[in-house]
Amino acid sequence: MSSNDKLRVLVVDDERANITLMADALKPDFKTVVAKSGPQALERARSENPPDIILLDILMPGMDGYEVCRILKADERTKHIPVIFVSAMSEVGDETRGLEIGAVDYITKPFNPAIVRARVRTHLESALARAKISALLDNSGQGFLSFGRKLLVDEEYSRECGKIFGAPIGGLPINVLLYPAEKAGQNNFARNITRILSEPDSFKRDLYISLMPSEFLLRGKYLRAEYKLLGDDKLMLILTDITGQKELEQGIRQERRRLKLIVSAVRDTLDFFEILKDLDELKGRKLKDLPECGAPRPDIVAELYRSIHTLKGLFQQMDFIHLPAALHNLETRLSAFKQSAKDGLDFAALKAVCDSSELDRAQLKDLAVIEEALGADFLIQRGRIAITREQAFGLEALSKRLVASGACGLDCEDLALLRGLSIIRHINLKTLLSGCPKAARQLAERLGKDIYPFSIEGDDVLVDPDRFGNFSKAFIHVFRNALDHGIESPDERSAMGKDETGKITCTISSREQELGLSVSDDGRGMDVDLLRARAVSSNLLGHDEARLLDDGAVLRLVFEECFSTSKTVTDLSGRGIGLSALKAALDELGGRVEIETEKGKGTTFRFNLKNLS
Amino acid sequence: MKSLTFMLVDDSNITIKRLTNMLEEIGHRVVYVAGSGQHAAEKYMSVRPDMVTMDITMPDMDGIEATRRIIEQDENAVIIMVTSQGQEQMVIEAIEAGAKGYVMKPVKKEKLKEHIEQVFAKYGA
Repeated sequence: MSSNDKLRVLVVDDERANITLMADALKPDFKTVVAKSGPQALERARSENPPDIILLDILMPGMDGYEVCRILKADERTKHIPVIFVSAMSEVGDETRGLEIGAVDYITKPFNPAIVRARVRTHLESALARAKISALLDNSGQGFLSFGRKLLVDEEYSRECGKIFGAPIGGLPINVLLYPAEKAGQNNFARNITRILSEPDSFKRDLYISLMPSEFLLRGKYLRAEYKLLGDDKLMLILTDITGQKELEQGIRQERRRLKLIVSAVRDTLDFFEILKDLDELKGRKLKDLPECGAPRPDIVAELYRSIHTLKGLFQQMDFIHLPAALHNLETRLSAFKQSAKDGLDFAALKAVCDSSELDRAQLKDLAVIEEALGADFLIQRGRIAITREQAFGLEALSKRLVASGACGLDCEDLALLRGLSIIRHINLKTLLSGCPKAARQLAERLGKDIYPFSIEGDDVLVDPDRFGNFSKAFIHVFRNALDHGIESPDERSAMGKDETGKITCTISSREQELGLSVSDDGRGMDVDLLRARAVSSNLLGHDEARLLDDGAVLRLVFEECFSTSKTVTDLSGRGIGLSALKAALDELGGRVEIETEKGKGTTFRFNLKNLS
Repeated sequence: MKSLTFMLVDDSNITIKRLTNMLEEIGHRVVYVAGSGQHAAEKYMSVRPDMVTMDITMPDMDGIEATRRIIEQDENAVIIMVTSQGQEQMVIEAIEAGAKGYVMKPVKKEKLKEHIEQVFAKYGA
């Protein structure tokens, strides 16, 4: 818009008399510029100092007014200048045609000067207002655009839209713009717009609008979308680039996970390296050898499956970022393989299942986090500055020999030192199981259950971690079982008049070489009759067998492989292999287990082991 | 507002318990619980609740189809979909089929109360 005090009106007419008449009419309020032909009018409109509004005669020799208007409206430089047609012709058809090609008004000759001035002023004011609004929208940093039933984007959209879509979008279908490569998305969006625009009920229309996608990912940018109705047949879409905010959120989430992993590695260093060792063993011996050992027996496959499952849980407990998912995928593949391999094992398929490259990648990524934070030395020294395993075994053997031989010349202190050395690798069973309470609480949270914090109570007993390794790793399954099947949800507990928060205890007791370990919960208890029925239905027992079996033995069926009372398999529980892994480890140690349960009151698992140190 | 009777349609016991507790705290009554869409469609006319809450994904018949079946029997049935993020398109279809509203999981008591009031103000008999 011109910065002169008076706004400039371009009067286009091929007859001098008409121009004079119009100039006189405008004189009190406006400055007049003149063009006597179409081409001249275009030249003036495109000049350095363009008019604020154009009064355009229709009938001119050569290029007529319609043609001039069409060219002005197609030109980026001049399309914003309002055009008013001036003509002696007064048929409705002409007026309509003029407005259709973009004119704002139509004045018929002869005219009243005051009315011409008023109309010109009105159109100038609204053009000014439009310019202000579009400047506002252009500078808002948001993409404003509108469309109707045909989904075609209106020509007036804010500048940010150009940045968002990377090209002019006027006249293009909005559903294709928002879902460039997704036919289903395009169709849903189009159908939803039709639903919104044809819904007469405003309550329902608002429900539809509230369910429209509120975020889009487009050309690598996250966009927040808001929808506003414009009248009855148009929707305005407001797009805001929230990529920065999203990246920040993701960054924070990722950082939190990295920190958790690092803290776990530092706090539970022994466990950390222990499970990495287990992973190496899984990848090396188990996964590599299995396809090559001829016909893998089903029990070997089952054993592999159990160790993958246990390892997955351990990596979850230690807050590893990528390994749990990789192990879960492996477990799922193996599970599918077991299903399909009932009528004979296919070695090529098994080899594909056992491919460990995904595990390798996940392990590298997770260890890179540790290395970056704690330095390569942490991984190389495995968190310790002490002796190697072989040296420890050597010292143990030596000290045992010395003590046993009753070596001469050793005083009490020496003997105590030697005894200490003979169990140099031994650690407190409480330490070995220290991850369980935390894992149990995390699991409870995931299952929507509430338990009081607890720790491993009772006697301090030193055990050989190599001997107790499998048992301590599988021990978490007792807690899983208690949380999954024992402890009820807070709602259920309060409905039964129980404390909403459940209680789990774990106690170690030691007498001579007898080692007792008990885990109790105050949950719903185990249903012996249900177990009996399930044993029959899953073909574990015959009907009569089940009837004759005493309750204690029936309860112990939960340790059988694939005996699960849960109907659904989650990534945490229900595949019925957790407790069987524990039982296998218990058998290895020559231990026994007893279960006591009372309906509605809870269950206690009592493990009895020999501690040979 | 006055106490309303509810029929809950959901295959998850936890969701049913949560919703029942909330509705009772708000002052309404759960008069029937259907564990499947099929069951809900069969029982609706004999139960005739003031409102129905409807899960979207259920094993035998999904919430959209169940809504359609109920609306066929009573077009004034007031059905509220109980849904989670990612199911928006299905909710739109349920509303087209005649559902009168929706709440997002995790359901918050205040939000549920407010939505019931809005829907009842508009459609309640």
